Amino acid sequence: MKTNDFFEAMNDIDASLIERADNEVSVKKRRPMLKIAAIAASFILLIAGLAAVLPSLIGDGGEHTPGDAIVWDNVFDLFVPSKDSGFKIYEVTGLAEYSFSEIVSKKYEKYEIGNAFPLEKNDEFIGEKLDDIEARNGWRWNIDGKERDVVTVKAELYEIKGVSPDAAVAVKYLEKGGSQTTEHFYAAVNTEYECTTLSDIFDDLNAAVHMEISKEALAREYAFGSNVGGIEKYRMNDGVPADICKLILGLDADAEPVGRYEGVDAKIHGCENMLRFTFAMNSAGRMINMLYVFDNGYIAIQGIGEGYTLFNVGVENTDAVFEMLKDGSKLVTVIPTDPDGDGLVEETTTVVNEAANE
Amino acid sequence: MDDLKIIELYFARDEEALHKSEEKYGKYCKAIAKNILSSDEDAEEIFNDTLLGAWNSIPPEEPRSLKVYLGTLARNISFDRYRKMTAEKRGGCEVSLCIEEAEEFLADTVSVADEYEKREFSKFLNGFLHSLPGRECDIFVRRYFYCDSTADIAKRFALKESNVLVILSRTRKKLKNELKKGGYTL
Repeated sequence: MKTNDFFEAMNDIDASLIERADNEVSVKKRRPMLKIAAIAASFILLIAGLAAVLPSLIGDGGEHTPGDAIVWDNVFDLFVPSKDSGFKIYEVTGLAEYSFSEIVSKKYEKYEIGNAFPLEKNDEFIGEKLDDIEARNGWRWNIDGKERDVVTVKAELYEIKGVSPDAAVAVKYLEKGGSQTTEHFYAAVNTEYECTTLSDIFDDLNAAVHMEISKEALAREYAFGSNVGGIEKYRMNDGVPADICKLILGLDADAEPVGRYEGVDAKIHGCENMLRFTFAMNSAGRMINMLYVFDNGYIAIQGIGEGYTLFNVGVENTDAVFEMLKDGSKLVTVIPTDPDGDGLVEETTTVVNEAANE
Repeated sequence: MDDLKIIELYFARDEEALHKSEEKYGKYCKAIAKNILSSDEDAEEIFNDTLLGAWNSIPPEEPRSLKVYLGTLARNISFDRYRKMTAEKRGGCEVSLCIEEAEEFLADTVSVADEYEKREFSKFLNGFLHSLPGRECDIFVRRYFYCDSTADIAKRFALKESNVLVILSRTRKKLKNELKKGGYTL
């Protein structure tokens, strides 16, 4: 059958269907977000423990750039288990610590430091030195803002080729502090610069590999992580290409990008338990939005932009994560139901082992 | 003015019928055309052709729903225009994505060459759509009749775009299964 035949047949569908689809809809409220619970002190140990396991899963243990804002989401965007599957979700929410860096020199205090340029791009993008500055680097918890190991370090500012220094510059640290390296150049964008013109800034940098992502949003991603409004535009795109995930996570594994959800059911089929990690860090101390660990050897990382990347890390690794979390954390089951059979899932949350955490 | 009165104007060959049609359904028809052709200018032209089409066909046609009649005309004319425009090159607009999606689930299906087969397939498709849960059906119609983008559908139904993609994907899968059951596959 030709596609024309299908689209012609669509023209002949009942008028009632055409009219109904054009009516204003009253929609039911989506499932409520689970509240992110306050976490017992023991959970910090859990994070630390997880960081010990995760290097073998998702990172190289190297230093990295500041973390991203957290985006709550739901695994049912990935797939919907059948009602009778007995599928359980272990919910783990918590806090995380991320590395930060802020320019203290007055002239540039409105510049926000973000991600690093890939080292191999330095020659291509980094221009003349502009200034000497100082930056305040350290580690900060995401919930209460508590800081540790804060140091003031010397740094240099460089021009980004083809970019007005009024809009963005590159920072190179001369001293260690936080997780920043002294090798990389980090993008720093003037938060008071007119945003609409940012779309041109990183054209050359991004056009070749990130066709699907709006350039302005990606420029902001380079610069800010997801800390500012530009990310909203980014999130409107469908999924995040694997190379973006790699970029964000410092990941160099065999990634199976899962942008449009096709095929995910098959990969996850057969697993009975899933661990949903809301605030997670990779081995480099960088937060990622969500980490799903399935008991059949797969993990899915939801990066910025609501895209998922699925990794096959082996059952032994996912088992190890399950074991560790079951021993030391508060776990709840989230029972998914699809009462209307319409593919939208409601969640019923039941704490099953609260006592184990007390 | 209600539809019946507008249709009476068509029957009376009163050009006011065109003004009233534009007033009431201009935006609706242009939105359909714009979804397919991605151009305000084209949408405007398509709407003029739609009015001409309505003027020439009513009477003898006496549509039960003027809105659907004009919308369907606009969609038909837009698709014709789209085919002409893209005879050499496709891409760039929403409808090309819709077509790609359709190509996927129509792979390995038999042709419906003559009028009888086309009518039968229309009946089959209607039956399939009526069998779907309401919202699933509406989303499918928004996508493949109105050629709405998934982002627009998400907005309309207050869903996340990812949910819309999942729902559409499942519906396509269902349709593919039904095509198989209905003997439409090779």
